[in-house]
Amino acid sequence: MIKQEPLKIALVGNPNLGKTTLFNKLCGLKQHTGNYPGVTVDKKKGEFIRSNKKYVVTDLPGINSLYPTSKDEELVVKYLMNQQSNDFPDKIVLMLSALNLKRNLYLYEQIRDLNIPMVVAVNMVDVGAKRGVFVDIEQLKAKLDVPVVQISAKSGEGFDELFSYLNQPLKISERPQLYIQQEDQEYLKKFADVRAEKNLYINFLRLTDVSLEADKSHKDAFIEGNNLNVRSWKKNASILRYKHIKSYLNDVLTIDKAKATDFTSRIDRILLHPVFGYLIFLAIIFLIFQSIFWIADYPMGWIESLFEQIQVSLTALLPEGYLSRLVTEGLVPGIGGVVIFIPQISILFFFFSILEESGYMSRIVYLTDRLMQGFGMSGKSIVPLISGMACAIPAIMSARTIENSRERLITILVTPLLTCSARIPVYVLLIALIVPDKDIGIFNQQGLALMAMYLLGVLMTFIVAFILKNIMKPTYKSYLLMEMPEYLTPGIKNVLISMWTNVKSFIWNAGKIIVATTIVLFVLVTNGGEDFKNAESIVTENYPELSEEELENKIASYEQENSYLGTIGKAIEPAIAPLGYDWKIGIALISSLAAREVFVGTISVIYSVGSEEILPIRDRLKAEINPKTGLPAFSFATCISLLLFYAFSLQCMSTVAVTYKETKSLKWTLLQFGYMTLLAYFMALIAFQLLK
Amino acid sequence: MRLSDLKSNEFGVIKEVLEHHLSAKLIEFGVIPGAQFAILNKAPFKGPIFIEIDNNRIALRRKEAAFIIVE
Ligand SMILES: Nc1nc2c(ncn2[C@@H]2O[C@H](COP(=O)(O)OP(=O)(O)OP(=O)(O)O)[C@@H](O)[C@H]2O)c(=O)[nH]1
Ligand SMILES: [Mg+2]
Repeated sequence: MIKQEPLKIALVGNPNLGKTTLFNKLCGLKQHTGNYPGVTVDKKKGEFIRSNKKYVVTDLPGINSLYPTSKDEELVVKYLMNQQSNDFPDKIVLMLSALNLKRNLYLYEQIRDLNIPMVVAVNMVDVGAKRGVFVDIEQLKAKLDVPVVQISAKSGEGFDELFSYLNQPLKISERPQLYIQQEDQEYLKKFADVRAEKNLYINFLRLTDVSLEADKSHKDAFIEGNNLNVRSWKKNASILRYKHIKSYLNDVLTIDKAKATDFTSRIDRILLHPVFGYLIFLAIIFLIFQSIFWIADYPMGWIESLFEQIQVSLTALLPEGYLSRLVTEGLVPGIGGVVIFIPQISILFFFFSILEESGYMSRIVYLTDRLMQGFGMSGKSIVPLISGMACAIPAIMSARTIENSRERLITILVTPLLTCSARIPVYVLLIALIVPDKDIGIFNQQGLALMAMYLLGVLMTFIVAFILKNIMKPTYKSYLLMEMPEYLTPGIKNVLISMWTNVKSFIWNAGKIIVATTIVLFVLVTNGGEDFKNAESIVTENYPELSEEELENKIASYEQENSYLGTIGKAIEPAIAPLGYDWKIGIALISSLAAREVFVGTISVIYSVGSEEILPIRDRLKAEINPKTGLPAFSFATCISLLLFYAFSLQCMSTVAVTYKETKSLKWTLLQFGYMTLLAYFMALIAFQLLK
Repeated sequence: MRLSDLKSNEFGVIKEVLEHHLSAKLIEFGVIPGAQFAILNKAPFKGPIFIEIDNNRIALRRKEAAFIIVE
């Protein structure tokens, strides 16, 4: 039995040291990791039990110092300074990385002065040794006045020692103020004297940073009254701290110069080459998207025939009746429509997490910074933009690392224009209708068409960003200052975790909505008013000359048009007819308002109800005729129009919600939804009218 | 001389960080007088500069590098 209160611990440290890797290892949770600064942007809590004791652990975003410059850093600093809160940890694990010891010790020195009980955990000592960076842990233990342990977040090495310290009382007391010059010290003490907060360093931070102080007028009066130059306090503090670190670092750290710079520098010479660097970047992106088609083709074929098989067997197995039809004509094709994309989405996330784990992401930031500035964004925007090609929701959150508020806002507003994985099912289905499955040279034509859709998304992203840049007022000065990580071999476990969690959430989220909408649609399409109920007699009366088979088809379509769903569809038809859509497509548009990928499921349901044969959805759509025009319902013009509509419209309620959460502004949330909907409608309209 | 004037593969020692909106942040990143640095790469079209400073790799824009006096 576990009775005592759980021990609260928090993981603190610079970006990119393995905090989340440690968190996942401890809690068995699967949070996102990656080899670039700013992977984690929010507080995450987890629980675990170890040797019969319960722990609550908080994973925090990485910070570079206690002077925050972005939203994610601010969150951590406020968390560490708010020591009265219920959330405040009993103890912190301060992580250091052997690869970047000096910078990490700088943060340690700052946090040490907050006097929070802590254990220092040094990670990546093994990687360091391979790169010619040797850390002497015994020396470090001797130099710091808190417990130090060497761990490996990946393998779990050193955890026993870490926990033996965490379970000790760990007294920590105020040490001399190394960060302030003698003559300034008495002012700091005077400032602290009249305040509730007694910790001198917290008072120092409040005095020297604009964003941390609640009682601004008191602070400003104090600075003015004593004629203090707090900017130089702040700078002196950094210089004093580095001086202090230098006094012990030589005993702790040995660097084999030749070896240390070798590996990463040699790769950088190629990957950051002024010409090849960019070509390689484009080639990598191109290969990723081509391989989505190449590799995924086979497993997709298997899944497709599997679901046909299930449908055939279930039809034979289940008794004839309403519920059986709901299963065989509604749920099975609806779910099949999503499951079939597992291979493509797995491949996409596989490559993305390799990009993230290797350290290449920061190089992309570096290479593209200049270009992005032309569009009102910073190089750091490339991370949300690239991950927006997988899913806009985490992408928008990761924009937190962008310091400048205008750059961040523009990034958030344009990210959903990029082709996210939920659009793949829609695109693939529509492309298959109008592009032959043949090769040009070594490239698959459908693959190239999908590539074109990705490029279209990218193009529109930059056009809109450029327009926003020229509309929105510039805010505070923008800058780029970032750490460039060492290249690491992607941890296969982290790659698989990232693939698995993303695919799982794709299937789960889409699955939920699809099952629910499928049931609603099915009920609506198989029920109706008077005309629906009397379909058979009405049609037989009106078309006495038809053959048995023709009559049956006529009845089926008459029933569908007069079902409740048909009635709704007919009502919205005038609005979408100019885009080239019949009422059935209209229903698909509405039902995919909450999530785009529902489109495929809806189309499957609407077009399979009432038809006798079991055909792949693609073949059924090709055969479908628009009763109004007598032309194919999915003509070239209609498909292009649909592709454009799905490329630009914001049919994803989760994205709307996350934009609201991140911007805390109804105005920007509505603006994003509004401009995307208008863009989608008019682009689709223009395309159809030109092509029809 | 300013850091922004140097070419790829050149190296030196930081002399001074001039006062501007980013100077405190630069110091926190280890750009302090006396630190040795080498320019690893300069991105084309006046893009950012990639330097190694006291065994740390950082990237910064030319605009800000112009405030760093080196020799
Ligand atoms: N070789 C090795 N690599 C590790 C170890 N721990 C973490 N890594 C790698 O280091 C990188 C960063 O790991 P994360 O756990 O995402 O780092 P973080 O500290 O949470 O980073 P932020 O969220 O950006 O603050 C990943 O590529 C990991 O695979 C380790 O013990 N050994
Ligand atoms: Mg993390």
